[in-house]
Amino acid sequence: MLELYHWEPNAESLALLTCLKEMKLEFESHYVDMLKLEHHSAEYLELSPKAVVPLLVADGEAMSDTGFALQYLAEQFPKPRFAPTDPSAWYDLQAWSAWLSGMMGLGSNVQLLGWNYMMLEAMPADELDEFRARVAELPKEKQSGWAAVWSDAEADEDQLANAEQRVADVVTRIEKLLADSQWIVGDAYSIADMLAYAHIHSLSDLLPDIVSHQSTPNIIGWLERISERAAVTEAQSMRRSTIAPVLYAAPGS
Amino acid sequence: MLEVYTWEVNSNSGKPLIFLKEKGVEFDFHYVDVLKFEQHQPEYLKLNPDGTVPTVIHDGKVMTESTQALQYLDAALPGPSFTPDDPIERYRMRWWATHGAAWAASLSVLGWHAFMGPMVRKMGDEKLEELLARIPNKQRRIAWSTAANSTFTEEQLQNARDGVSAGVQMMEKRLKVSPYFAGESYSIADMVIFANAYSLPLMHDYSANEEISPSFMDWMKRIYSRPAIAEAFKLGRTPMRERAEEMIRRCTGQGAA
Repeated sequence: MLELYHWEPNAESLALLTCLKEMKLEFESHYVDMLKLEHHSAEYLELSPKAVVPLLVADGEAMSDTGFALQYLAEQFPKPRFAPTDPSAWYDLQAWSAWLSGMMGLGSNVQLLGWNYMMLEAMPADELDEFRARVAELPKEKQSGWAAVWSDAEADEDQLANAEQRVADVVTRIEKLLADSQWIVGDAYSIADMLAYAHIHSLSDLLPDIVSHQSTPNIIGWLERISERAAVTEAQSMRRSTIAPVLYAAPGS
Repeated sequence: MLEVYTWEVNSNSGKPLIFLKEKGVEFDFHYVDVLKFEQHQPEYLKLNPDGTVPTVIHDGKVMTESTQALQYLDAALPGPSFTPDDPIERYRMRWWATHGAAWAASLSVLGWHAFMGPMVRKMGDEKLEELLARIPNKQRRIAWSTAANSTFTEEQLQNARDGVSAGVQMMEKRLKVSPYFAGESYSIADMVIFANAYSLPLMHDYSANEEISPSFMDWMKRIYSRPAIAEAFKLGRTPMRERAEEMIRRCTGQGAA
């Protein structure tokens, strides 16, 4: 029995939705509306004390780390296989997973930039006001991740430049890798591609200087190969919000 | 061919040493003296451009992510397995190995303030500045400079102590439920966390003691009593080794505390 608590099909929610669709697994989908801060409700905090979205629940185990949840799915449901079997490729998969996911990885930096460069502009003013009021009601320690997001906060140029640099570093690494290989790990599409795609697919809009036909042709080709997959289309069709194309998960979520 | 470039049985450096002693596999040990910033020397950077320790090389495969390297070695080498068979327990092992020692960032502040900072400053300002200037990544250079000069405020130090205490309580909660982090058996997660936590009862006993963290202390004693742990610490060359040996004596009941 699998349950997935997720938001819009973007970032790590997209990675897990894609994986479940690729593996054709039945699961109960619970939409958590992060703009309504449903992940901070008492009910959700019971499940995930740190308010993490997405959350995969498998046999009663609430899995808050997306990279490891994908590895769990690949090991628990090995057919068809979406992860390598040999230890060397498995190391590569895990190393990529760490660089892509987590607070130090690509994901959190994309998140920060997504909010600063796109989300705040895309949200209708009244919705944004309403949203900010909701955030202000959260306990203090849960608000820290938002400080860098608000446009009227002392926009920390250093922090944004640093986030762009980190994204650029990982993108460069991937572009180089894809010059010799069709996929992130080994010679087949895997959960590493699902995770990388989930974080990178919006970058040509968000950071056109960093990801584009000109500067990263290999990444663009790889994105196209993945976006043609039926499971990816299916996962992305689960959009609900009108501003979904530019939605980024909440900082510190 | 298995080569390990690393420093002491401490934090990331300690992980492959503990693991390989547990696995019972021979390896070439290359001591990288972090207190002399050898990990930022051109020769080492050829091996590992990020300038981090450890670097593990097995049959030409170069690995710089230490926790992931242990999982590779566990699968690739002969000997007892330290990875659970059950996929859910594997998830727990990976989760704890990655997030279960996140508090070690706080411990590192305290370690540099009290221990490593004074040791590296013995080389003198000029030499220290010269070595710091060689660190390739700007952010890492700033972090190392702050650490080496121990320019932490009292507030930062107190936050760090609070961070360590919160970390121990998180581990205590887990170890109340199961004897080891992944579940019933000793795994890579325990080795990774131990490599970070081994000094807590001695150096930071406000955070870890029989009253406030009995399950954690019981786990600590079980790990310290393992022969492979004593073997691993024998590879050390700094006072870190002596303080670990003091803990081994306490935990195995050999000699007075």
